[in-house]
Amino acid sequence: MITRRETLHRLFLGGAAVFVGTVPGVKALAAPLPRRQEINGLALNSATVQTLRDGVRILKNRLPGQGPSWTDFSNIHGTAAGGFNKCPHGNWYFLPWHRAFLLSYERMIRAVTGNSAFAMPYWDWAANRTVPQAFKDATYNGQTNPLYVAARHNNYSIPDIYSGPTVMANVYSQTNFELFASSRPMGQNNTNQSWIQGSGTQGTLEATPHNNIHNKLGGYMPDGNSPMDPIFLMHHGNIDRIWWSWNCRGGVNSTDPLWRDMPFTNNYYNPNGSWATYRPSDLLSISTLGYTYGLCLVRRPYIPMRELANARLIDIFRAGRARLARPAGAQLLQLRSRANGAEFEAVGDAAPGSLRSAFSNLSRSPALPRLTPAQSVSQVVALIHNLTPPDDDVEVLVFAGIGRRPSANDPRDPSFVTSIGFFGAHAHGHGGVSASIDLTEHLRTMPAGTDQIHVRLVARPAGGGESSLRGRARAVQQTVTQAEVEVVIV
Amino acid sequence: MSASLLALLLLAAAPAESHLATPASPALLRPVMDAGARCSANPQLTVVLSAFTPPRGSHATLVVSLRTGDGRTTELGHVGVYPERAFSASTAQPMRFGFAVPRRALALDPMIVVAMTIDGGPAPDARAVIAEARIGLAPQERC
Repeated sequence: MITRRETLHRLFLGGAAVFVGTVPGVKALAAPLPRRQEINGLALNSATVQTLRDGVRILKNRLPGQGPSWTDFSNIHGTAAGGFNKCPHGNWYFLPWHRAFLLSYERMIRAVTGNSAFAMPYWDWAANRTVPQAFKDATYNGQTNPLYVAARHNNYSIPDIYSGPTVMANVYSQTNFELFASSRPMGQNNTNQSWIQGSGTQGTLEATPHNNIHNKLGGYMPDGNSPMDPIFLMHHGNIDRIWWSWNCRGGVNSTDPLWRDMPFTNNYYNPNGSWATYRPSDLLSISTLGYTYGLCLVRRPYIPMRELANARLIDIFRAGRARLARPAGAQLLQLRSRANGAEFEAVGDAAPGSLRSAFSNLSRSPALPRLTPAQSVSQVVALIHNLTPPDDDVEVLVFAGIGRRPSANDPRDPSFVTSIGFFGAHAHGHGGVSASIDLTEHLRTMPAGTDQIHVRLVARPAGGGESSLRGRARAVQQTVTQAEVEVVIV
Repeated sequence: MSASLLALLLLAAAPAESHLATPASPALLRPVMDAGARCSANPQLTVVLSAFTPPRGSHATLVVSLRTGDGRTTELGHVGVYPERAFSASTAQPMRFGFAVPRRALALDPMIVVAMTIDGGPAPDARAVIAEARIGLAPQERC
């Protein structure tokens, strides 16, 4: 729930970070890498979630002599009685050690289920604050759900102080690996195994979202045997994705041999049950390890391009409407809009080639020839004005696509961008609620045969409960009947 | 007024340091300033937790703040202690938590406040011992 004033900034900063859709060009590869996806974006009956359930169930049911069991895996990390075993925390091995640990689970689940395309999902707890549905239900299709843990605080909602925009901005803003990923143990001067558990200094990523989410979820999660709870895999999947994302944004890993060359000797299981050893230097390229989180194009962002987009957006926010500001070089699409019941649609054409420029310019090399102001664009932003919810029990789902009208009403559809919630909206005066949404990452992942952009808003009762729609249909509809959408390329 | 009397008065006016944080009372420490701290472009605070007792049946978060002589308090972070189990200097290595500190704060007589917040009701046994708060250079930084 957010206030009207906060909406605009928070949605913009949060962007549409969830990677969805297909990647142009990937079809050309013989065997596309399995892509790790956000668990909330996967249907409960999807092949990935079903494979995860099957894999966890098989490992939990293993008898001695059948290979490493669920408990054997967890014991590598730690035990309830003894705390941590082999896992490092509070030092610079935290990220690579857990990357390899997750990888050993992923490979084992592929092996025991026979699904070689399986990629471990993750839980983006910065975007989705509640325990994913796949882990909350005690049963699935009438059978015990192996992802469910009764002692876990399944109704917990993570507050901003642990994973909100300010915390995540702090995490991503670190420019030094040891500030981002926790530091070397004090006094380390060789790669003796004892340093793996040495005490360094925890950065924000480990100390705040990592530690607190472990503790607040309860059950197994606050202790050394936290991997007994399958949600451990989702939690550390997101930590791993954040490391990858930080690298994509230009974050540079340590080149110190004390870090790169430390062997985590026999710390992991191979799928055949034998022991595996990894060094951080083995773990730096996730594609080499056999998985991906999607495109990683924003390397070394071209700062003048980003600053130019920011300046244009500030002009727009000051004026209140893009059509009033019309900052030089920005492109405001001419949209055709219509409201129909609880839905609102807008469609318009960008100048030919301008979308492709926006998608590639942020990683453009400064060494290339200078562009004109109109060519110097790097973001596609939807500005949504005049939402008029009757109360706070309404939300607006935002869908967007290129060339094709997004027709789904389901947040699991690839065209889903984000949802807009309201807090105290009815108490505000005239003019409705505004929001801005950065569509760049969302649209960039879609097949782009045209420059036509579609934006669709769907109002519904908060949480989507059909039963709560009864008798409120007209009130819900009024949320979008007066809406106004602008799409601007800056 | 003599210099010694003035020194005594200033001492009396200074906030009392405490290395112990409980749900009822925060720890308050004057940070040790490393030699390079004042020339750092990116000064870092390290808070050293040497002993910890979690609340029974609940969870704790340590809220680390910077209090400067101009009366301002700046929250630096909410850290969790994981695994959330009791430890002391005799049973485990200390845990260290790092925070960026605004440069301007170094000239404003900073104090470090570590408050313990608890989910749920009272937790009389919960405590955290802060062995040290130290401000110094960022990793690999040279002055």
